[in-house]
Amino acid sequence: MNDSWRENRRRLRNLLADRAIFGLEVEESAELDGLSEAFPDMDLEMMDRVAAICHLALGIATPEPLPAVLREQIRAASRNMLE
Amino acid sequence: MCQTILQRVAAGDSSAVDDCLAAYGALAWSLARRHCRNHADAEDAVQEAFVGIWQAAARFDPEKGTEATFVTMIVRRRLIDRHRKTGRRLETASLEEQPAVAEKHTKQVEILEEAELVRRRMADLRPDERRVLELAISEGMSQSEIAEAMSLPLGTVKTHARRGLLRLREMLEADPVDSSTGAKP
Repeated sequence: MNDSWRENRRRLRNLLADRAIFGLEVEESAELDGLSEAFPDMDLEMMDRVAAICHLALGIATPEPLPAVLREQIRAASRNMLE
Repeated sequence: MCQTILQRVAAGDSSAVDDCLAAYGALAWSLARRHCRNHADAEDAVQEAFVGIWQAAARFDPEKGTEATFVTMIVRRRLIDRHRKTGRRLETASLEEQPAVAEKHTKQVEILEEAELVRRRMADLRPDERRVLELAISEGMSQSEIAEAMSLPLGTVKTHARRGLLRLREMLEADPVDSSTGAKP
């Protein structure tokens, strides 16, 4: 593995972390897409999952019920999608 | 073998939609309420998020994490995308603005237990890394807002965020939370 390979892999990992925490600019998203093709073994959602776990740990001490009207809207929309 | 709710959604089982809403509706709504400007914005975000969940359900892999984590991941993406499009930061509602607590579904109890375990692991991060992650993820602050709040250069904020997330990932891989119960195996 040469330096360029290592550097590109590190850059992809950093972009995945940035996306998971702050989101990406359009150019960064394009860069991520290009790099991800070069590293098909990389789990592209690994950082998103860790950020999600952090969010769960930090943000939901008091879950609030989904409003009934909204629940019905989601159910109705899902029928069209899943049938 | 017993399928998870998301695997049933992916298989087109329409009853799984109700189960998914019962198990994770409060989670998605709570995340959106906490980070959206108002009620209408939160409603739109949650509707978009559930469309994303139905579309992505086939990608859910119980070997890689819990359903709650997967659902949170999709909801976060929608919230980040919405706020980047509108150029606004994720705004955080105060606890006083948040109404009644949901009746705790079994899955929600598991989610809270998992959250507590992860919170304990976050305590092992370096203080600056932990603080940056808290401000970015829980408070929805941008890199420049965190830089100002913590009196740090922008590049340092980015480095702390990346390193913190990587270190947490390593900790979770070394000592994972069980994906079916939220408990340590």
